[in-house]
Amino acid sequence: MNKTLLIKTFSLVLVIAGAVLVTVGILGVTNTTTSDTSIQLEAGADNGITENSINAPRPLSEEVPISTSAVTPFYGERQAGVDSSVNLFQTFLGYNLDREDKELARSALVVITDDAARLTQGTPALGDMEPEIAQEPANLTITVGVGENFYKIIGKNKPKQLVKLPAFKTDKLQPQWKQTDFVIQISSNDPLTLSHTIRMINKSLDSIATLQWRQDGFVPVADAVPGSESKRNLMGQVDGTVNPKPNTEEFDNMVWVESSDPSENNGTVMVLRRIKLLMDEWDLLDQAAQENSIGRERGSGAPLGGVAESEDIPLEKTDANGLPVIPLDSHARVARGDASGATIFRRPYNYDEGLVNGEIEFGQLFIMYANDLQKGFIPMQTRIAESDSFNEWNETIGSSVYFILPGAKEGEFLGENLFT
Amino acid sequence: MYTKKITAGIVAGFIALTMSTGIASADMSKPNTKCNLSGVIKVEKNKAQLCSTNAKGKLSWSKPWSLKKTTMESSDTWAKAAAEGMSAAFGKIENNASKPVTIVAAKSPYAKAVQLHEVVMKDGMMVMQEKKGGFTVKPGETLELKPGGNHLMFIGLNKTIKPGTTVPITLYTSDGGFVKLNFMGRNFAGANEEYPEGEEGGMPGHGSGEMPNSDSDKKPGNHMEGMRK
Repeated sequence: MNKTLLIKTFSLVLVIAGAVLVTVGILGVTNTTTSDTSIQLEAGADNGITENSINAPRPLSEEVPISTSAVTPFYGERQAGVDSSVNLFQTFLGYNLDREDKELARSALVVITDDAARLTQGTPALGDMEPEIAQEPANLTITVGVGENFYKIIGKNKPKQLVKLPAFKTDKLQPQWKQTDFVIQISSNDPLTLSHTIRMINKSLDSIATLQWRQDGFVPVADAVPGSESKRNLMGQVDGTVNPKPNTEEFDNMVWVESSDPSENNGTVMVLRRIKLLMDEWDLLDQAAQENSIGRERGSGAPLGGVAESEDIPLEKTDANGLPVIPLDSHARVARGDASGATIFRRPYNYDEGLVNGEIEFGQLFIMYANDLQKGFIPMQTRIAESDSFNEWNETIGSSVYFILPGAKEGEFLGENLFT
Repeated sequence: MYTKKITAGIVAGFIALTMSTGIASADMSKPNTKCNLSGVIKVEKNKAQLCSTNAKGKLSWSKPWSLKKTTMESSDTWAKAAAEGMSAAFGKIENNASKPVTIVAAKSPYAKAVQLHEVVMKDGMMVMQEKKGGFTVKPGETLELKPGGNHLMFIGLNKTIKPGTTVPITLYTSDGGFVKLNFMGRNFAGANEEYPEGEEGGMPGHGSGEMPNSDSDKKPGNHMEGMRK
């Protein structure tokens, strides 16, 4: 071949290759720039997202609209407060009936329902001395759950789904947070509304039931990562990954009870556990050690080494030394077990408590709703108690289980079917 | 002769007096439904009689009137939980008829009498008293019974009003209607018929109320004592 022709061809190839490289380079840069402002969380999406862009600080002036006049319906087949969107503030009131008396049990449900039907809709309760507060419900929900003893008092068999939790190895239960006859979950986006509601209901129950404990919780205003429904907990972690979405078949199958007994149909079982976080001890770890204990990146909530919160935990992935990237005793891996999807529905809240023994207690109200504790929660919690390395930095100090009653129709009171 | 006439007159007058008293007390009154408390209403064979103070200030039964069932819409009805003595009931009562309706009496198994009360200003003070002539509700309007305003007053509770339980009250109207309504027992700190220390009177017909947590039964000026002779 002619030498000149060879050189010319080679040069042309180089030019074309260069042009291609430059074009690719430009596209690449462009993608990275735009992906800084729009974060897509679909696993495997070809969007050029890097770890750095996920962990980049988010704008502080994000506006999250909260409407104080917004109303969540009260009457319905199911009680609100389980699949409703998460309100900023939630309080659990644990009550025992003043006497083991079926009529008293009935009266409790009658007055709670009456208050709830009014207050959640932005109308004052009967005899409400602060009607102006009642007019700003801010998505107030009031949800009633009854414990095993409640059924004993009214002389009815408890639902089969309401099982006793076994004593988990790591539990350090304190008597002040023990199981009560019934619980009322009250939640609102407005703290004044919440406080007024707590007071109204407690007044209404005077001479019927006595408050044993209250457990208050809060969630941050913003979602942990835009688009995610998880919120951050007090350790700054993205909390709530791998959770079934309300109003999906997966959710319905896992949460709602189906029964021919109308006092059970469309109810669910709630587990409420008070988990104290040992923050001072946690502070001694560096970020990598903390993340190893959990098995997830703190910033994004993605499994270690991953990019997006929604990615499945890569069980087989190993590092250069042949060790699993997601440690075998990390919380996320242990909780997951063998299942590839969600096995429980949880709706946690953070708490910080006044002064307990001279210290402010920080923790999490672990709140879970399910129709089958044997299938999801009990095996999971057993595994966690056995081998979760994160156990070193948290302590379960309270645990109770309640049957969340079905919803009520207008003119009925919650649990009316229990008395027919 | 003169003496005889006087004696006859005295005897006749005495007989007339005893007979009239006898008639008054025996006339259609059962032994346990005496006209000794304003607002007591007795119903017998679809006829009602109301005990109230007449023009001379004396308690007496009204003429009997015939009853027929009627309907009135009510909402937000509740009664203050109380163990004994006095209590009150509140709520909204609608007149959906085309003519005005006047509620003249009320009755409940929970109390000896249920009076109709109003709150009025007298000599610069808010005073509660029986509403003479009852509550008139115009067509299409709603009577609002509330603490500090018009209300139904239980005088002499027979049974404890417990929160979460249903208290029935039957209302009687001037045109012979009657309707039974349900009031939900509710805890309520206010609506006590009591005035702070040092303030007396201003409340004819009202004394101290025996509300829950109040253990004083015999305060001076208790009108119940004055009426039980």
